[in-house]
Amino acid sequence: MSADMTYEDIAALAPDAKVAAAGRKLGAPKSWESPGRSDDALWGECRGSAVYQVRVDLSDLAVKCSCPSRKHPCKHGIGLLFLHLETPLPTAPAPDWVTDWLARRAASTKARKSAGKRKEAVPNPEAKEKRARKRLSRVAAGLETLDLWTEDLVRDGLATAGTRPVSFWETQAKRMVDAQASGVAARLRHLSGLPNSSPDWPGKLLDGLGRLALLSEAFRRLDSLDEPLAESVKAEVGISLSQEEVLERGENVSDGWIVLGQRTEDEERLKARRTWLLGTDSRRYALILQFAASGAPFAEGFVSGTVVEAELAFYPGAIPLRAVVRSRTGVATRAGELPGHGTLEAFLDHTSTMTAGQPWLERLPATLEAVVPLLYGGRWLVCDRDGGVLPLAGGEHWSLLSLSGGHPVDLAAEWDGEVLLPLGVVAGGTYRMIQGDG
Amino acid sequence: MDALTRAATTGTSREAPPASGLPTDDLLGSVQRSPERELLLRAGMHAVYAAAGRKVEAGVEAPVPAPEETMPACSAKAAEILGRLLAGQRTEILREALDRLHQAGLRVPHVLLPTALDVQQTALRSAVAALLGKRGLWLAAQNSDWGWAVATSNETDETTWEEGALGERISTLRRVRDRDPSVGLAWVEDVWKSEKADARVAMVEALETGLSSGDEGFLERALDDRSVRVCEAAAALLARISDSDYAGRAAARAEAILVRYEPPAGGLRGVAAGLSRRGHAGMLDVEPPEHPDAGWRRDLPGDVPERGVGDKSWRISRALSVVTPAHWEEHFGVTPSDLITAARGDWEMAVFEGWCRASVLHRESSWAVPLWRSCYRFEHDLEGWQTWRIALSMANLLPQSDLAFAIGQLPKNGEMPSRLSSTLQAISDPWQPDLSEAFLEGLHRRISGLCQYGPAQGEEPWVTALPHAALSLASCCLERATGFRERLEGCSGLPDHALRCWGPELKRFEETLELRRKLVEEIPL
Repeated sequence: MSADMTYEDIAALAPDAKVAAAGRKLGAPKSWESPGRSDDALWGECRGSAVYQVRVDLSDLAVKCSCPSRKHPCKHGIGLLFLHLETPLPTAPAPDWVTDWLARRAASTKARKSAGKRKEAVPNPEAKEKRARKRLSRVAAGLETLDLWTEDLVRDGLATAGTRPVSFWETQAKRMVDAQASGVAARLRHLSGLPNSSPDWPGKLLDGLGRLALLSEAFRRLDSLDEPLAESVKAEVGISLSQEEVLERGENVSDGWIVLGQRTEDEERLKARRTWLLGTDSRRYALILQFAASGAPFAEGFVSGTVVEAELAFYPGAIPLRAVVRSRTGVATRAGELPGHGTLEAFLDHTSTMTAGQPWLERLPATLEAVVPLLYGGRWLVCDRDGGVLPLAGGEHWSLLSLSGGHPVDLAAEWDGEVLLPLGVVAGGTYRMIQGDG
Repeated sequence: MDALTRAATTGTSREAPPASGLPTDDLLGSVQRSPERELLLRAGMHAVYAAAGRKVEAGVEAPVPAPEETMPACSAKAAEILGRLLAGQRTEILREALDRLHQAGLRVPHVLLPTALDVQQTALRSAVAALLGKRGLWLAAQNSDWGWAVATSNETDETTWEEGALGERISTLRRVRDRDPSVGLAWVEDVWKSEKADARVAMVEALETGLSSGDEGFLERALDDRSVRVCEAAAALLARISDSDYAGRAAARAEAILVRYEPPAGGLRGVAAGLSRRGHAGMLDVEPPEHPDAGWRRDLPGDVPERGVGDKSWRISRALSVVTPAHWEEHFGVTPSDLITAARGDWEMAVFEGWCRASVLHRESSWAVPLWRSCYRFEHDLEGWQTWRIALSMANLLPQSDLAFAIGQLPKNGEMPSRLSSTLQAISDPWQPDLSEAFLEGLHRRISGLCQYGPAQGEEPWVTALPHAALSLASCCLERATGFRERLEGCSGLPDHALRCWGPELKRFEETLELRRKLVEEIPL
């Protein structure tokens, strides 16, 4: 952890607001017994109802605590980070319970790092091949029924979709899950929210159904597609590679990655987090998707606005964006700028290229240099130096407006093809994340 | 709506779909498909085509950027504390934080401006307004909810007065009264007839700022208002205009109650009177008034006696409450303490209550001290308690050094009488260093006493005073205010109930002080 980590950063690491508040309270010296730090870790013993040994790996802010809490990181870990922020801990030789833990972590990282490089004998390549073929034909059969269903919908007219109950969509989505096409199911669930949601919903619904039709069409012709595009189509349908396969086959890129920002979505019993990264040298964007049961930790911690030295393995595809972390090294430092597009026109050119390469991308990363956020005629917009504007996602953006004060700022955002959802802003050389109030 | 969407909305009915009008249609080739499928694929390609061809919009006027700040922002740590206070935790301390920022010449950092501008309480708003900086004013101008922060010049004052919400109108009125009382009075007279009772009450109360004999005519008319609360407010102000007709009427009415003062007798009779502790300071004759007439009811409108208070007692205290206590010094030619001693007798509680209220109304601290001392010694019965409660309203008038002295005089085990504790809690002003030091010293002594002699019977007045003390202690004494809980926990053999009584309150006490200490540290003056 660098010295310039902020309170917000630490609070963002906590699994929920309660833990953040409890940790905040524990960030006082009187709660701690012999806390200390080394180049790669913080540690301390926290006096609660018992004495707990708390340690933090500074390379990825992983927390380990001997308390029985099911929340992770627990309030003690968050408390230790707050303590260090309030009163930087003295450098000291790490006790055994810290060095042992660091050594165990290093060993498992190493194993992971070599995972892809190890030529492991596939137990039974034929059986694996057979399983894959079987899965493809199941998905294909599922998509056949989907096509008939969407065609019926169009034949009856989309106007009728406005009167359908939720179960109309949900039943079909469940069928797609059964057919192992979870990507299609997610798209259907998204479409089910469109009817009557806006004046032009029939157009939006048709767009979505049309893209879905393109996807099923592409899946039928999987064999005739380029290898990367075929991978993208399979991934969009819901046949994704396991992390091990990605580590094995994916393209590796080492870089200092700027953590542009994060969005966490709570689904039933599950939360999903999207973390957007941008390579400082490679200028490549990457998306880390993480899932966790609600209340449970995400395996990997990222602090928005920091630069993380890491090797990523990209999922193969026509426009590779999604990636997993193969290894992280060193201590995260604070990002002072967001390199990106100088004009909105240049940004849209870039998205055109990406859309042309992979038409089903739903969210694209954006880093925009020197844009001015503004409220104009009741609309929230960003304006570039040429006077071009794009709309910001629904909701109000007063803190963004306040931070910019009508002056140009660098903005990190998610682009859904319609509006920009701000993730973070650099104003006056300081990164601040933008909370999702939109 | 384009042709494809129109066709899809109404249903295809097995007709050939319309062309999208884009070259993408050709990509589909001549494969045989159902019309629905054909339409969907065309629509999908249309969607991708449109997304890839998205253009930036134009024609927006960029706003005039906010001017450069002239004040520095507070430190990041101070900002963090301020953010938590603004987010609604511990609003009591927010006021202190805002005042400190103001004194230190600092402003609210940009990131906190929206939360700061969302503050609702009128009292906090005026504190926030001074800390917004150029950026804050620039921002507030763009959100109608934040209009209160922008209205400062003369012209907008008038607009706020005419169009604002009641709270904003009243604070504007007070501001204008401060500058030019006659303008404020004219504003009120203009709108008077069309305002609701709530607004009329608030407006009369606001005339307190810049009150002078120039307001007498208006306030006399307000005494005939149809709302009792308006009449009460007007009467309270009229009583404070020293040469007003009202003050004369009030004095005449009260003189008919405190009819005569007999100085202490000389010679042997005087010695005898002194020995019986009655009348050694003289005697005050009290004549309870008969049924009030119309003039009485007009001048002393409103409230009725509490349960357990007799009509006559009530009338005595009511009539005395509007007359400045200084009047009696002049009228009878005696000192406050002699007159107070002389008032002992059948009606003493009623007379004391009246004088207590009058001291508060007229801010007479030379009366507050002897009155408080006398009430302090009253019996703990219902009547004594009621009088004591009224005496407590004078707490801000008492010299704090006297209270500090009283704490210093506590017995060896540090026990505090509950009346001293309730007096401390009734002081709404910040505590001065001497009182703060005495309190902390006394608390140390009490905890030692607790360890040594065991807990008190019944409630613990120290503990009930802790929450108020945590917010009132002078900021220069906070450094010393630690270690109480540790000492308590270090005591062996303390019974459980004492720990339960002291532990949680001491913990909250120390946490609050810790937060205030951080504020002092992060916002140095």
